[in-house]
Amino acid sequence: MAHESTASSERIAGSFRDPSGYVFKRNGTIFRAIDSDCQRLMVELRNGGWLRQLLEKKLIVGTQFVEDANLRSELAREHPGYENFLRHELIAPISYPYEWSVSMLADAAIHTLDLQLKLLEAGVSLKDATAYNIQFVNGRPTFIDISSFERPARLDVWFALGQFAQMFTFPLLLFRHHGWDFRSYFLGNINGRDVEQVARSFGPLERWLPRALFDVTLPAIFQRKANAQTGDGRATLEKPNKNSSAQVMNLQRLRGKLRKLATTYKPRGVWSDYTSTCSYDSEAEKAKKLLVKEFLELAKPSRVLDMGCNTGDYSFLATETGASVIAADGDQSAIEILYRRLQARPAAISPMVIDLSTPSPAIGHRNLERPSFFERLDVDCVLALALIHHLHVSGNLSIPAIRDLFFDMTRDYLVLEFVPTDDVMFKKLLQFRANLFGSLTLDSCRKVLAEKFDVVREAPIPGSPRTLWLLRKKRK
Amino acid sequence: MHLLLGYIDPGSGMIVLQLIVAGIIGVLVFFRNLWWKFLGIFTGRKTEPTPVDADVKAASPKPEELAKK
Repeated sequence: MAHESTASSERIAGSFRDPSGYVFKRNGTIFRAIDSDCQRLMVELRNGGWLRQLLEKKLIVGTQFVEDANLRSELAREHPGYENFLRHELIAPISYPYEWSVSMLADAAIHTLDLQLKLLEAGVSLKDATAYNIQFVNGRPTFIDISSFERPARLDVWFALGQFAQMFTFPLLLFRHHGWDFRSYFLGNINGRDVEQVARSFGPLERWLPRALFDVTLPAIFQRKANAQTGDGRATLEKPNKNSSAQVMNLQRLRGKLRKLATTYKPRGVWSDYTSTCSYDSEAEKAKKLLVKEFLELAKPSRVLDMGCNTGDYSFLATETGASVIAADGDQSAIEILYRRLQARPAAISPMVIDLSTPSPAIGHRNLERPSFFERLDVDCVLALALIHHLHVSGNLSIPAIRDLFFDMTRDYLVLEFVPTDDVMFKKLLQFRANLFGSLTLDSCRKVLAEKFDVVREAPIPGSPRTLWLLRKKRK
Repeated sequence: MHLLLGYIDPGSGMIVLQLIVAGIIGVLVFFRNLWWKFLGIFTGRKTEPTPVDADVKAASPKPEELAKK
């Protein structure tokens, strides 16, 4: 993932746009090289007590000054041109806005606004407002890009608001009112969509409704005007103004609006209960949970991917065995429900919207800036429960292809649920399809899997026609 | 038109809008303060602007220029 490495430091590929510093990983620790301006600002924030407040309120990721003289000189030698360094808490896994559900993007937006409002009290502001500066730790957003802090001349205007709109306001509005999804919004353009394009999505009447007027229509009109203007606008931007109340009022309005966009959204499944799409009666479900737990306790993974996690029942179960879990599902509403459950019941779960037929690709500068889902994936166990029939029938993947897919995803173990062709849910998938899957049996499937996996345990799930396997990758 | 837009910072529309809003807020606060001063003539009470008002007043250059006149 990282390039341009020096002796023992490797620079994070996504960290190159900002000239005031960059992030690198050294012996498993995350450091940030910062220039003297950024260092001065950070010292001011520390001495003013602001840094402590930002950390206590969990507005920013864990950050310390590198004060050890030996380490500092070592780092300075490895990173010519820099003398000051910060040490950051490590965040894993990294996720991107095209993998978030609607409440996740809204919470990331609100977190950015809360941080900006807090910084304004100290006369400081964020110079950019990209969603990539927010990461989720146990279902809570945190801000990671400390070198975005600056002390601007005027505080009544936030220069990053245009970027904030492209990264948060526009996608949330388009999601709620026009059925866009974040994948198509962000993957088509890493920085979000231009206000012109977004304005065209709103109809001639809708354009003047409160939902669009202040955040889309007027900015689009003024942007056209700015385009026609020939004079240099920089003088206006550099006119000192230490009063932030106009900005504060606007950001508080925006905060309320974005919050409402997320809370009024009803994911499919809140009303039509999700268990209706699940074939298990409660006895079989209980038995399956016991088996999964038993297998996980046997394998003792520290990092689990629950692929096709639905609303996360088994992700929570996996955290009970001490693992941290990536809970991934192609269904945005399932991840939304899981994220809301996570707010009520914090756990080491990272929810992500991942469509296994088209997992997030690598995007950005030289295709290195935002690595693909597979490049970021580092788990020692994959849970694939009630998934194989979807991959086989809907995804049109052969059993060897499914085996190889899981082989690539896990470092060690795989907990796989076998769904026979006479299962209710399997039949449901075949409703309008030719049945080309008659040859699939438990034995034929096991034979294919055994070419690359050892079968550690195999157990029929009581009260159901299904079977659960604990598989381990063969070592060469 | 679209090619030309490529030269414009995507946030410029937002900045112009914010400048206008900041100006309007400043003007409103100026007139509110003026109204309180006007009432003060009759009630005989001297109304000191609250710290927040003073801040907002300083926020916008326009009312200050007007106040000088």
